[in-house]
Amino acid sequence: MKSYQTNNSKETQALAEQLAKLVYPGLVVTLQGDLGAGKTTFTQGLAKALGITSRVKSPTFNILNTYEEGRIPLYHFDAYRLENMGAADQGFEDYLGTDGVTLIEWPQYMADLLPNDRLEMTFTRMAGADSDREIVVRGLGQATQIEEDLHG
Amino acid sequence: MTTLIAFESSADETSVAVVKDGKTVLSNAVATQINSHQRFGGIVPEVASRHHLEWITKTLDIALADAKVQPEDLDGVAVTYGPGLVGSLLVGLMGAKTFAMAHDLPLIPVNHLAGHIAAANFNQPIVFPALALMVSGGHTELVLMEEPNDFHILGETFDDAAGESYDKVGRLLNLPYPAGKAIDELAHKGQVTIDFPQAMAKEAGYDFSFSGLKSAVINQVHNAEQRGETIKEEDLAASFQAAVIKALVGRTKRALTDFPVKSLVLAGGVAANSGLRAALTDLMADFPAVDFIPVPKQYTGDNAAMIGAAGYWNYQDKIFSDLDLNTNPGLDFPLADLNQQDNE
Repeated sequence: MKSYQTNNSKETQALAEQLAKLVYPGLVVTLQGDLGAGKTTFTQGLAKALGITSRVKSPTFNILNTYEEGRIPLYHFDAYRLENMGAADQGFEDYLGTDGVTLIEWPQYMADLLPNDRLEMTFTRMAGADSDREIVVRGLGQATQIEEDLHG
Repeated sequence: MTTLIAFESSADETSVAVVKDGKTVLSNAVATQINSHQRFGGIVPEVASRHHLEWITKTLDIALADAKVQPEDLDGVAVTYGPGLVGSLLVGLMGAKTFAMAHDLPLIPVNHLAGHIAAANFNQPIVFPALALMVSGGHTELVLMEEPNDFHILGETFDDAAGESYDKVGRLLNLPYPAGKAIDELAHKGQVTIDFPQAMAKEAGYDFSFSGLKSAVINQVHNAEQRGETIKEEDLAASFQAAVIKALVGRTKRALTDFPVKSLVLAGGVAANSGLRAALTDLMADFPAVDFIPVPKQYTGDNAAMIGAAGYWNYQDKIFSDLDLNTNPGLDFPLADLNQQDNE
């Protein structure tokens, strides 16, 4: 487990750029954290570093937004709305572990679908300044290597 | 006279409607997963696509019965093919295709967003060129229309949709989902006591950003908690709503100033918000030559009648699909070429 501190959204996105260098097809990254913790901000940074030029907007409503124009496809999930609906029967598992990197916000609401090999990231607001964040990174299974190689 | 049957299942609502000439709603059967329609006895299935599957034939039967039409009275089948949830979209699409094939009717593909805008025709016919402010749980866009079926995005949100920020602030205040109506009501009981930041207010263009506002509201609540203070929920709701409306009205005003349109359409789920309607009504005093056409409140949420209205535009333009039509979950309007517009 590694822990990083960022003091603003630019620093959060800089960490995302470092991660972008390490991602590979099939990797699943879960982004846990409260509303406004920086999950979408992080995804925007990663997308840009992958060479994605279109706007990465919040996927809350659509649950899944896909971006094909980068180095590898980016699948951006947000399970926020699945808290009541459930994740079954939506065909989401078809996107996990395939040709792209998958980022999942609110992963606790699609816990049954998560693969054992994954990178878990947790975003926490720090007491004090409003924009300070602690980002904890933990690799599971094959993703352990990414945790080791990641340097903020 | 053209009578279309329309199917909509992109998100939480399963709906079938019959619409005459794109402006007269003969029937509009809606089953929602959020507040199950009384007519359906209050059953709220938990899984979206299963719910759609369960209700698609029932809403179809009700729509035909309410409109008192037979399949042979119909001229076409309009259906939402995007944007939305793929599993949900597929149910309406398969229902529409099956109905079209069984009754030998043309299939008309409809963009869900065009449907929201076309629902203004249930109020009064949209006069072109027109500007549409489309605000919903999934979208916040200013759309320029030179003529029917011509949509270009002037501005859109960079991050969260306006309706989404309502739902997330609602979660913070422990309000039920969707929270738009509850915040609107709270806001009317409160005072604007907090001056929330206006993201992008100083930037040129017509884009929006609501993620920063969401964070500012969260920070306000957390900081108050840490100091052991309480903020009146009514005041927080009023201050938040004031910031959202200011952003929406400010960008709309700029677009109305820069583009000489004949009407302004207000569409999408957030169009039901009374604070937003009032603020835009005030704004229109500055633009007496522009007709203000808000979508009637009962058609602001997702429904198939609006798909019938937009489908009528496609029918007139002879835009039809084969039965191999697929969903397009990420469907959106093209962006306006603002440089080119400036030169016109």
